[in-house]
Amino acid sequence: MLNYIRAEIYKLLRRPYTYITLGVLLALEGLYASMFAFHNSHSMATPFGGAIVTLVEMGAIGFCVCLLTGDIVFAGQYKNSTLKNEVSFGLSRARIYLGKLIAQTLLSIVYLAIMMAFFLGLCAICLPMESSAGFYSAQEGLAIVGYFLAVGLPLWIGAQAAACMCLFLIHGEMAASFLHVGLIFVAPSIVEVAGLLLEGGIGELLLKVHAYFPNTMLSNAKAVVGDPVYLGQAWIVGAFWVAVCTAIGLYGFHKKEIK
Amino acid sequence: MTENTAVLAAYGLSKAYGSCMALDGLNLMVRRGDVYGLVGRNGAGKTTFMRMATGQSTPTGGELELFGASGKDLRAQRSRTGAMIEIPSFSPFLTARENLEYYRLQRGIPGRETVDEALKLVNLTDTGPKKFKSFSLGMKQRLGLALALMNHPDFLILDEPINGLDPEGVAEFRQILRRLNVERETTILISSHILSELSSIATRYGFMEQGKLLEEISAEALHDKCRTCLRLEVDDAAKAAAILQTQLGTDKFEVLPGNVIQLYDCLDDPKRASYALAQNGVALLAMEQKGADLEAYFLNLIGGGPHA
Repeated sequence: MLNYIRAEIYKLLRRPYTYITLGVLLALEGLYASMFAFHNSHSMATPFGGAIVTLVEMGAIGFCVCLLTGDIVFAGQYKNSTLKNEVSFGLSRARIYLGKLIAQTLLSIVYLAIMMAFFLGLCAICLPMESSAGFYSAQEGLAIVGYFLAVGLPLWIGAQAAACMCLFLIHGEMAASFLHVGLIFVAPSIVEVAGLLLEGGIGELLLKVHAYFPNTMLSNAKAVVGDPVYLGQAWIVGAFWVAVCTAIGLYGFHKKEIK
Repeated sequence: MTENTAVLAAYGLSKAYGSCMALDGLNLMVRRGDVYGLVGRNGAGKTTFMRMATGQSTPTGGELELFGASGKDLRAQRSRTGAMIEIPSFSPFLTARENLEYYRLQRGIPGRETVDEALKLVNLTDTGPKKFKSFSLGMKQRLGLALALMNHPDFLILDEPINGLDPEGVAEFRQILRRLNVERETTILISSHILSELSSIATRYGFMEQGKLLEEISAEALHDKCRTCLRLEVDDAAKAAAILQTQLGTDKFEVLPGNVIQLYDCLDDPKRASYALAQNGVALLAMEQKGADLEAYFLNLIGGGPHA
């Protein structure tokens, strides 16, 4: 397995897509941070703490990044017909699947670390560190962001497993992306609406299920900052998504004809 | 040879896609040291069989053995094989060296020099920073062969490996395969539509049609069968055969469909045959001296199909 992961890292480090994607994400972050700096030069100053807590509104971007990193590592294996080179050498399909999932997750974590360091560093350089009235202090802001990341990490890894499953089960990155978006963003809304429309036990059940979708959990995290129970639930939900998506993906991949 | 020398064996192997049988109870055996030429029309089941041997497809019936292992033990034996099935496929954004290095790391093959050796073997050392997506078909074929050879396999599975190669490349390729077979005792299963090329390297042939093996024959036996003969077209083949046996005292002939007889005797004196037939009331419609090649033999075997 280590050989497989090493090879995946070797490949993704030589793929322009890896750097272009990161560059675009960092450019967007820079643009976002510069909006605070630009705003500060004209009117009321937003301090460091006030700026960084806005990250909690952007958890959905993490789910989209999972899809991008999944695609970078998967590297169009169906489109390029390269899986046959791996299968014909006798590598087990489980090793291929799990190797790619681990490489995708590692890349996502590296992206997350770079993006967070870049944004926090940029805010620290461009924005005042002193807190002002109506804004979080730097310490409070970092605590909120830290909790948000602790809740978000398992949920993003769950979404990563979903992205991996979609890419392995469906030929064509576009269709796989649609399925991933459907699972992460559309399905929770459908379940919620169904829960609101249906009366009785089924409706209540659906609303409870809706509350445990990764996107819903991450959106609700800002309301319960510091709650260890919620944090534990997030890790359980993340682990559940990893387990279920990986089981389905592995089963489907085992049945697939490689061309 | 005994069964324990079998490198690859198929026992009643079947593959169904809906109602279509891509393989229909295929029985085939590639023995150690063979250069096994798989011959058949498009859709005969050659690639399907090779895809099963390499684990890309699973059979719907029958059993497959690789180096004597079957079932769940079979997969581990694939690390002893090298394969090139259909068009070689690699990551388009990597160079030749990077692509091979990726697979070397993935397969845990020790030594970075392995990549250079493989590239040198197929004459692909000077591609530099050129990405795979910019390669010609011939270059892709060479890289595919380099990957198949990188782990020094005991068994090579090659599906149409010389497609796209220039004449020089074909000659080099032939030499590489011969050398591997002779020096490293690499067993080779190869399919090609270029039958003249196949006949220059194969030591054994399997002829496939509609998912079945029509005939398995050694190169020596095929050579005997394809030897020079007199092709006689007569009005009554059964009567002519009897005359050849009784009047000329030979049984060195074959009766083919369409009242055709291939006579391997009287080659230096064809008049003897024509005279004997005419004397006994058999009309000789045509007579020619000919020698069959692999292509003619195959076409004859499948009933004169339009494409090999």
